Amino acid sequence: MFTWLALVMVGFGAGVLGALLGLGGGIFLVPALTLLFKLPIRAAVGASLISVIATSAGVASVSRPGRGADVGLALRLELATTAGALLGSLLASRLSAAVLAFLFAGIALSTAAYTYLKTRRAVRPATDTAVEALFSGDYRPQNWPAGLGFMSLAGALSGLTGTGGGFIKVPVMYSLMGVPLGVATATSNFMVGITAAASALVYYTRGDVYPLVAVPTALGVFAGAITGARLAPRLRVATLRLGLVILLVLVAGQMIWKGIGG
Amino acid sequence: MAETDLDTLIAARSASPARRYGQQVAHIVRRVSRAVAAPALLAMVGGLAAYLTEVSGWGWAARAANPEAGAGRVLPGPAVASLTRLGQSSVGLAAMSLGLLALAALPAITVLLILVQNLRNRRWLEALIAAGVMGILVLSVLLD
Repeated sequence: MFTWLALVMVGFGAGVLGALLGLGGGIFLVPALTLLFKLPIRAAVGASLISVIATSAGVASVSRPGRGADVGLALRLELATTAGALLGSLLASRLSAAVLAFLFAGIALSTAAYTYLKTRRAVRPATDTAVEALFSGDYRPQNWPAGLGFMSLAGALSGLTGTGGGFIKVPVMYSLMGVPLGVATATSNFMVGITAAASALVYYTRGDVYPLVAVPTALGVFAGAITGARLAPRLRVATLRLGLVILLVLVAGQMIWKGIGG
Repeated sequence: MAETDLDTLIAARSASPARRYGQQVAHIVRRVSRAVAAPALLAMVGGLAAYLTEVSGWGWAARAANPEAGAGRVLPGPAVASLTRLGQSSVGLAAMSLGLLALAALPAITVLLILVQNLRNRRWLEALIAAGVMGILVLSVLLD
């Protein structure tokens, strides 16, 4: 009984943090499932991919008009992302658990660096007008070849590690392609679901999804994502990000230790 | 109808064609997410409860039902049942597997409906792109 409740709570926490920070829940779920519950990493990745879809669905179901994703942009980028995700998920069965653990540690450290830089540059919108500015303005996405290349990488990493790839997608769309930050975040939230689906279907047909793990975590993540999406406008996310940076560095260390065989 | 959906539809009718299209698509994404996720989650919850009841316990019998588990371990449990093996699985496991499959297929359903909307609006390039994404998602099921 406590196992299922613990899985739901872990999923809930991952969903809240993912929705608040625009990262998706996978970056928290995979290490939690492997380190706390001692699950094989492929089982953790399979459950995480399902949970990423649940996160995306939860956020999409409560998204406000005018604050949503640029679906046209998302689908264009998804051509590259889903292709990368398909390749990554096919490759995952051929890599050892240790390699996957090291890869995940690299992702955690990259996410920590991205989150830290975001904390340093964060400007909290003080008015509704400022918030609207995150979503408005005429923009024309630029640097398509580089953008598509990075999206392929994000997809491949998603398929290998069970993350959504948001820590690549948002900065690429915002900094490289010139998309407003609010639109980039909302578009990334939409995209991670499709990206994860390309990999999740491979894991599903391969039998690497375990319902007793995936179901409680997905339920928790869905509830957490909706809660996080509603809480986001009311919280000082910058403070939360600093704690997250420390957590991610610790997680990276744990995954490296696990990969070494500790 | 929820206030936000009504606001969306009213705004869509008075907006420029491009903005109206964007709002139509956003409306589709929102409605599909709610329509598919809810029954999928219900199937998962019901399936989990049924499975745990089927194994006649929340501890010892659950471990006994999982021959791969070590002493005291319940997780990870049985793997998901594929569509061809649903009939051979327990009711609980089948319900959980169907719920997980529905959730995994949700993005594909969303992209398919966006494809249909693009065709109805005669947005051929957007439809082609959506068809491309659908093709990759279908390929992911066929390849392994």
